[in-house]
Amino acid sequence: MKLLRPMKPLLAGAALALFAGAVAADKLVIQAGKILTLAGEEIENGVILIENGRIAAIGAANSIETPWDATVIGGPEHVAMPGFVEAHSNSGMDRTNENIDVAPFLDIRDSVDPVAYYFEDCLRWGITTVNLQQGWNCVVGGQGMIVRPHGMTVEAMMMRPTYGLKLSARPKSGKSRATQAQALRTAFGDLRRYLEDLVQSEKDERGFAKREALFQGRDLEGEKSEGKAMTGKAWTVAGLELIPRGAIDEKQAPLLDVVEGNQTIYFECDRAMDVDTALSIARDNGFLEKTVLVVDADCWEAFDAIAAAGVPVVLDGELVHMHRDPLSGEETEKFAAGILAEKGIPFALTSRNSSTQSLWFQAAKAVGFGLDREDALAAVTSSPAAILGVDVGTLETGKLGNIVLMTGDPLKVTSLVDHVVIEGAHVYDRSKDVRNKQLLDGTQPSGTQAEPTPTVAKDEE
Amino acid sequence: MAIRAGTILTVENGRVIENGVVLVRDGRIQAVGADLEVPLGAEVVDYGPDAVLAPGLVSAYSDDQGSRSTDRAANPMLDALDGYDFYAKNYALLRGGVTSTYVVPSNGRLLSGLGAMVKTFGDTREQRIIGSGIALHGAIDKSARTTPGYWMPPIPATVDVGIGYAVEQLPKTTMGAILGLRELVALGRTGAEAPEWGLGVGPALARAMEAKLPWRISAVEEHEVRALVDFAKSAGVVVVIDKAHGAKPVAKAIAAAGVPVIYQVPAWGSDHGKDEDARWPDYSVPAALIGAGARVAISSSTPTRLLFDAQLASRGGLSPEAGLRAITLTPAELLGVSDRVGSIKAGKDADFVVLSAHPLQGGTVLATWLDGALAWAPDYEADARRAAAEKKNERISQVPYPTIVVTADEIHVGDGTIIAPGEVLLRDGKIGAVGRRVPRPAGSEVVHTSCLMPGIIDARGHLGLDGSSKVPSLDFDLKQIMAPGDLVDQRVALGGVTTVVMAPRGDSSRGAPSIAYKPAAQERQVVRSPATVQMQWADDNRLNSGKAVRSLLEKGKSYKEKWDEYHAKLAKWEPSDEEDAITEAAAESEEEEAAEDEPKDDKKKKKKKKGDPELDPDPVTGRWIADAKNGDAKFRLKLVPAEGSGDVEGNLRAPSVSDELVELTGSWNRDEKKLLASGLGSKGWVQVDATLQAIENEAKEKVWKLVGTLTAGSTSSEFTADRTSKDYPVAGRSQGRPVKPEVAKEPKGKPREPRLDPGMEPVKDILEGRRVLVVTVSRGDEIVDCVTACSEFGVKPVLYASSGLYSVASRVASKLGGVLVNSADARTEDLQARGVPLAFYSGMEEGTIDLALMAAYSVQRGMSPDGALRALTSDSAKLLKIEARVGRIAQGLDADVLALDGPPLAPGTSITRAWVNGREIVTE
Repeated sequence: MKLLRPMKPLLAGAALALFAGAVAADKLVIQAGKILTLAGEEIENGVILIENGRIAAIGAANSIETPWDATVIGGPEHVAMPGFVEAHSNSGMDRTNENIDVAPFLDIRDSVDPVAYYFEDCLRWGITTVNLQQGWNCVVGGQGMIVRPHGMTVEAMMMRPTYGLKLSARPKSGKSRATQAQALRTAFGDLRRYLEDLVQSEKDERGFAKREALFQGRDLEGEKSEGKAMTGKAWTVAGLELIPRGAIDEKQAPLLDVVEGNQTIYFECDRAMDVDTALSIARDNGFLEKTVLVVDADCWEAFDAIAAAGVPVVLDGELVHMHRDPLSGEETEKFAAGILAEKGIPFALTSRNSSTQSLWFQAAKAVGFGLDREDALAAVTSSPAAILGVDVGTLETGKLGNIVLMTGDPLKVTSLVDHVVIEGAHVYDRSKDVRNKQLLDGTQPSGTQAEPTPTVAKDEE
Repeated sequence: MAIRAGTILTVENGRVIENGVVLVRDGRIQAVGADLEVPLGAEVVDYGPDAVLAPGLVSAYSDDQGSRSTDRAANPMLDALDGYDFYAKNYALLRGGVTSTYVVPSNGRLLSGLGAMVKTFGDTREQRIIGSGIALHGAIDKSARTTPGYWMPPIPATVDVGIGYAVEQLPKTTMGAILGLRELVALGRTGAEAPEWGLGVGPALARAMEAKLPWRISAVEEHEVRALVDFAKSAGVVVVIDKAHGAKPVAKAIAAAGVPVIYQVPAWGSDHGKDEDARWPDYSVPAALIGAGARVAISSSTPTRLLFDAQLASRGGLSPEAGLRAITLTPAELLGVSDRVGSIKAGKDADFVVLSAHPLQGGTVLATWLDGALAWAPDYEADARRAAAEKKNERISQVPYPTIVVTADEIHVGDGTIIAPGEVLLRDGKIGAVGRRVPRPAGSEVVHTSCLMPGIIDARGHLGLDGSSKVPSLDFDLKQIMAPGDLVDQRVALGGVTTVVMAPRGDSSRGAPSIAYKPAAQERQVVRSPATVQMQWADDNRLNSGKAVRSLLEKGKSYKEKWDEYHAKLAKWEPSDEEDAITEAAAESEEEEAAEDEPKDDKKKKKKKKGDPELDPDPVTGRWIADAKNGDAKFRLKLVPAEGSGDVEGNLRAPSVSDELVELTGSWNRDEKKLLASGLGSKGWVQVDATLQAIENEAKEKVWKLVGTLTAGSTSSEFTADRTSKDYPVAGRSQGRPVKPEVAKEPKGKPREPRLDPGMEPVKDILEGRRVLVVTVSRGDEIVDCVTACSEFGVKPVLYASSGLYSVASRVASKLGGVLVNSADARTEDLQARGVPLAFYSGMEEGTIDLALMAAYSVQRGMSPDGALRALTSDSAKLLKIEARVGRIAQGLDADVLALDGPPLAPGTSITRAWVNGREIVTE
């Protein structure tokens, strides 16, 4: 153990160097024995050409000419497929929730730790897009964002900032289901009352909002100085065009975005009855179309209601719910992903916030329970990409160049991720993964066997 | 639809209709009466003249709202339906006859929310809601007087805006609670916002008061009830007193003020407190209240037992009519839903409960109807359970054994031999053949694996005890706690352990049994029971060490000697010719009897007598051998008349109708010479119906024979029976064994069998070397003592936990039955070399899965791989004397085999597949 302790900074340094060192090549050619495009036929012995971060060409090896200045990776031993998309995750940050019930003004970007092992693990497991959202222990949580799990700063990782807001129908600790539903309704009732008060104060020429904004140091220039009529679908507040947008309290503005249908909602549901609560609140406040339900297999009884509402689902918990028949006491397995597929509900699987349970392992498990292979692969690539509205998830010309090269079939537990490319940048190479090597082969990273010398700075270069 | 019942309790004005009928249409009651014309085409359900039809019960309380209270002291905005799970199936309530239930929003606050009323069953949420926001729910009792302070931190807190502090909330006292209620009523009148109560409270109260909702406030103690009654008089709102446990002394005041009460039957079946002022349940409160003229509904703190609790609450002289009204119409009226439920009246919902008698006079629920459809009946549950059980049985035993040929690069037979390459045929759950090539029957599946070994035996584990540390006595049959393999057992089998000797945790001075079984198997689970007898050598007082073992063996020895003596006498004894007409068949049969449990064929009874007409004074007593007419089967019958009466008793051994001896009782009529006897056999009821007839035998003499029929279930066979002996041995009857008459009593008869002692049988087996004695003994000197003591009895003990063995190994090795080990090394190997069998044990439940690892580690510490493998399989089986079933891959043994991807006992080798009793183990 004595040896290990001084090793730590070195290791971290080496890892940082590895993951930060990748530079996006202008042109990247990926060769693979087999390409799973997930948008049609598989391509045997194919080539993908990425230019400026996007797929410029994809096809059989003999149909695409490799540009002379392109970097080439891969080979016939590899299987290429789109990078996995994590539809919903609470990882990579210090704590997943604030204590207060209603906190839409929080932004997850302030919490994300770019050097968290989680992001490193994402690359190891071939995940190239992550939707980071807050946890369920809230009534209204903060805003999330979509990131690529690569980069030294939050800005470098960012794909889409301030995307998604967490609401929870699952009771926050200390609340019952009834008080949780009440708190959710109250949050939107409070917003409405706040907006009505603003309009009234404007009409009374008290200008309360403007003064408050200036006092709080918010500038009211440009777009922010203009008022805008409310576009809420379920309810509106007349006269809101009188209020400069910048004058609306930052604490309330994110919820206004939700009611106006400008923000995606990730609604956490733990049991079937939570789904009803979530759908009714979404309907009452006009954001049903922008709602994604984050459900557990426990919710399977409510899948009919979900299908009727036409909202997509992130299956975040167990794949299977053990259902106990209330009459006979017999226990039967309810395979949630199978029921979702059967009812035609778009759904995505997640890696359940754990690096040891990779996304594709969940997909493989789902196949084991009887889900079609295509559906299972879609549930970790194209389906979450469609839910998030990002240009990834399949390999087609024009899509972002997020590609994973594996040593074999992606649903086989013996397959490993060899290379990961995010938007044309070669960000992961298993042969250079120091930590992985040490774990699997027991290989000591070079320079750590002998007495460690204070060369951390050098390593980082 | 029409529903008929002998008595219909409509509850409406107390009307009772005898032999009435209720007409139901579209889930509503169309008409109710005695002489109604049932429309053509209507389905008629008739519950018979004894049945009582009552309105579906209305529970005025629910207990599934959880324990979380709201933050604020008054939260009249909280909707109870937000916390109600419409997906849950309330069969427990339906079973109790409850068809409608009030939903409590939350407990423990001055005003904790708005209550609702729902049906207990139904397809959709909309169908099930009877009313939402039907009452303001609150409390002034102790539970509401601990409301914590309310604190909402400002966001963000700045230098100008502090983080604030918790604001105290009412109430802490009963007077505070009443003050709070008065403030809230005043607030509701104005409908204004009052920040001290919280935003939205004023307008919400104004809405509630406009709708004239009742204020359902719980008060428990007498003074609380009194205060609430005073409040009700002046408040100007409808107050309903909830719970009201201490209302008895206030009954008159309540009645005078016209305040209705929902009395809650206190929870029983728990402690009530030892304090002087602790409130112990008083169930006579409703009777007192109703007697004083108050309106009372009855609820239960456990709504599933509302009916029972209502009966309880009729103590103190509540009439059944008043009691029934208190759990149907009165709560419906108080909670504003009497237009839909609460009584049987045209226009109301068709919710009924059908009972065996009046609900408050011990009636049990026969059926529950909800919205005009049967929602629950007792056979619902039984049917569902039966269906589930049948499905499960089908899964387990209906599937025929698969026929599988496993080909392997190496087959480790288990006894040290290796067949490489080789093949094994698994058929009918057994190993059909082993060799370089085996037959491949049509339809067999061929599986290839790198290496094959027998299933591992855990020589002493606890899997299956489920944490129990009880030590059963020797006559306890551990089969009784067997259960078919579950997921854990399957995982264990996939880890290689297919047989476990389940031993109790700990030893008994009188010996404790163990059982060898296959945890993962669904059938043919038991390998041997009892497998071993386990004891501890050392005593707390070392002077007494070994006494228990010696004493058990002594007892066993004397028991064994009794039997030996009996067998010796039996061998010498020859049946004398006291009866000269013993037929050949009878003689054969006697031999069979001597050989104990040899199967006898059919049964027939014949009475033998010389001279035809003269009847023996006792023509029945004795043994009879019977020949069935329609088959070659024979059976045996013993009969004796009970003293002084016409009754007869006896027994029957007839393998065709019963695996065990059938005890018969019946009658013998001497005048009519008629015998009628019956008894319960292992396959069902058996009856013998015969008459005594004089029939000519082969020697042309007339003899008395019994002629009649033997009936078992739907089959019967005719027989004639001959009497082969006139004695009737009484002592043996209860043991289900053939019994010989006592020598002294019947000088010509057989020697008498000693009493069978199930607790001593295993010890006898040990002394005869057919079973294993496992002794927990650790110190070297004690091991020597133990082995010496045992060898005096001719017993080779198996040692357990014997850390001190190595120092004395040379002295005891030859006298050992074996040693149980859980880690071994070169020294253990030395023991093995001296010919001492070793067996690995885990001493754990599911931890037994690591047994192969223990063996592999032992190899690393110097044990030979071959020796370790034997100690896991064949040696272990031999040591435990179960080698005829398990332990090797050999023809005729159970098909318990493991497929490996490398050599056995290498740490890097995994088990890829496992078969137990020829069925592959697949975790679900």
